[in-house]
Amino acid sequence: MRFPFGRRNWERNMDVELRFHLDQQIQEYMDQGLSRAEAERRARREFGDLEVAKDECRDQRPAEWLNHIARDVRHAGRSLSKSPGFAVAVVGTLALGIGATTAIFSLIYSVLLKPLPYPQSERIFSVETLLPRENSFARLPARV
Amino acid sequence: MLILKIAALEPIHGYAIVQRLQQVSKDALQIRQGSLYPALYRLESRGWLKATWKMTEANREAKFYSLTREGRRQLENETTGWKRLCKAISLVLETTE
Repeated sequence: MRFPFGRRNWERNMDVELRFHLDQQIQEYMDQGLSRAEAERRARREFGDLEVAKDECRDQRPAEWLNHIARDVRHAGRSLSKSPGFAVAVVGTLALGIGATTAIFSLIYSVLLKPLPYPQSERIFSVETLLPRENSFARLPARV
Repeated sequence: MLILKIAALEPIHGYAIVQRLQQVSKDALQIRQGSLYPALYRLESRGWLKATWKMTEANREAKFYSLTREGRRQLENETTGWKRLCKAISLVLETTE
């Protein structure tokens, strides 16, 4: 009886399955009169690269992309902890960058973008009158 | 498609699929053994094949693949598609003008 769940069982099942295949092939060649060693060599050669085949089988598992992501994250973590100076620089740069952007955005937002705290604030206008005087204009601001 | 067809006949293990395909096609078709198993695993995870562990005649444990209902439908679709393609190609090849 075999158990379908769990990574280790999965691996073992795959090993048993491939081993069975090779053994059958070896037996076939031995029945044709080859020595055990010769039969084994030939079976393996015909099968091709066993590890590559195993890897390709693993890639067919339904949630394999999750495993890939997990592996990438672990790899990233390992590489970063191997060069802490670099990691600090990267995190510092990101923190400064994000902080500065946020600060500037909040400033711009409150000064320029946020609607004024009046009802129908889009109807507030600034009205100015221009009085021609000698060579210059005097501005009389007025609010409506 | 060929693997599905072979597995449609009876539950069968990987090694026998290679043998059967060679024998049925009179040695014209040979699966590369290294790519057979990834293909089987893919067909299984798509739900077209299901696998059970059984004893062989030589009393060894082996993984036997058989077709699911969905696999049977897939096989029918692929077979129709293939036949249509073959007909089209031979129409072109047999044109005399």
